[in-house]
Amino acid sequence: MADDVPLLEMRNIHKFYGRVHALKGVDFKIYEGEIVGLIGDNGAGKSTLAKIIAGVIRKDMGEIYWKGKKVEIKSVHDARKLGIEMAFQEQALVDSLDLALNLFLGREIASGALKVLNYKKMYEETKKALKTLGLKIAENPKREIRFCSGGERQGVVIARAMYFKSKLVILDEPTRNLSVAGERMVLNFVKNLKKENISCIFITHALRHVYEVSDRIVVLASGVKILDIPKIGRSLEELEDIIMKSSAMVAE
Amino acid sequence: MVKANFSQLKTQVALFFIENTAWPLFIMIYFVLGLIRPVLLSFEFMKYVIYVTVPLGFAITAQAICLIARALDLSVGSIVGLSAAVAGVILMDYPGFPAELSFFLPIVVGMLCGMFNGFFIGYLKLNPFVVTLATMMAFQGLKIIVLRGFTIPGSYLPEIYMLPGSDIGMSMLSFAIFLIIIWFFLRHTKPGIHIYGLGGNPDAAAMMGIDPRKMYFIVFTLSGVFAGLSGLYYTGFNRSVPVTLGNQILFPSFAAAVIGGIPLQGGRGSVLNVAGGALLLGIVEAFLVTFAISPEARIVGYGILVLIAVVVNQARESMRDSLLRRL
Repeated sequence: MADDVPLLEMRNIHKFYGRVHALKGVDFKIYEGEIVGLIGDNGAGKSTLAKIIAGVIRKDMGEIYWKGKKVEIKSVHDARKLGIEMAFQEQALVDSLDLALNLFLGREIASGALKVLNYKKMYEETKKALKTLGLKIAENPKREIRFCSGGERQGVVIARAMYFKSKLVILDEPTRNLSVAGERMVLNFVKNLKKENISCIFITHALRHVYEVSDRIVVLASGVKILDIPKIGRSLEELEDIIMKSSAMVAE
Repeated sequence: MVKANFSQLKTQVALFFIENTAWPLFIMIYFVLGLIRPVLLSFEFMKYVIYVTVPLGFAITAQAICLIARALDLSVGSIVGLSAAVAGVILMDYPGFPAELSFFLPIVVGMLCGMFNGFFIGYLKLNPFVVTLATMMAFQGLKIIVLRGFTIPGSYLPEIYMLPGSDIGMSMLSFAIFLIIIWFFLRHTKPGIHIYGLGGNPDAAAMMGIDPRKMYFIVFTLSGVFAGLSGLYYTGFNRSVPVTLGNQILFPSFAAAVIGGIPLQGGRGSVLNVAGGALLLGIVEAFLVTFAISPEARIVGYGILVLIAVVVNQARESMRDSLLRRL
């Protein structure tokens, strides 16, 4: 079965920041179309792990496999070539540009030797992509993105991943600072990703944020993976209980 | 429903005026100054104002390109002076130089100066302010060395070389053409829109695969080309290359670009409106000249103008924001 080969597999990943040992031999894998909730407190190492996958920083030790083949992710560019899309919302959007130009940023539809932009096509495609996610802002793709809410901004980043057929999307605390409605919106986006068979790493500090959409839960604490279990059949309370117990065990 | 559409239309109209303030502001100030000095209202004088503004207009466009990328070019005036000086000296010392190609001399010199800036700012990742502060001094000194301290009189230069800057019709028309070309490049091509992206959020642009090194290099190279064009048009306009050429371009270039609606945070604005800012400056200057105001007092005036430009721009930005939020 092809499913036996993970989309991404990381083995024995170490990362040092000066004298701080941020990741202490972490193993991590994610399959095609799978949604993994990556949970941990501040400083647990979850963002460090995500940044290594996205090529923002480099690991000090360990191996990374993409569809079973060993790869080196040295830069954001390398990660994008594999089909990894990051959604660190604050960093990936240009406030002064409109929705369409943000969705297509760096990959605009253009033709000819002069690379003349095809605005009409970009606005149409943006409308379509945002409509798929059920976003109201789809009606006005010329809107500058700084006038959009936090949830809508996440939507644009996710629409971008879907439009360019990414294989893996990393969402770093996508529901932080969002209203209940915004949170609902983001969870629906993630379900859309799954429909398109795109894998997703959903990073958050609280299980309840990601419980509904995740297939598997991975918990990090002080740079060590303390838990990696599928959700199947477990209720939110059961899972919270398991996480508490494993954290306590590690603390001892 | 009809009412809703009407209020939306009102917002759209208001937005149009806010985004293109430089033009209505130019027309308004023109008539106010015209009431004080009726001579300004004559068609001939208006034509003259536009004509006077063209050489400066190129330098302002050079500055605007950098501002869109959230960079400041302090060396713009020095490049204008140096490119005119080097081209002038070559044409004077080598009379055999093909006159039809003479136009390219200042443009190439300006481009090389811009590439020099762009190399340090893009590829060595140095602060644009510091780099252009250094080259502002260096290029200005070089200009005086090249000119050996003397003004080149127009009689030493080929007549055809001075034509673009001295013929009113040709000067205005060619400026309009260059302006439309650079506007099209910035707004309607991939590298152009990447300059806007870079200016709006350099980190995001880099993360989305736009190479900031290459883009800054392109930005300053283009800016250098326009500064070189300014040198060409100033030479024709003055019918000479004075030693002081370019010394007083930095402030008006900055003021006009800001009045023209390029926010200091970069990432927005149109070079077409910058032309409106240039004309506004031209009319104010022409007005001051009719009062025979001393050059020193005019420098004070420029300083105040820069401050006014920044204040006006900030007010406009916040008005624009509140209008856009309504849409």
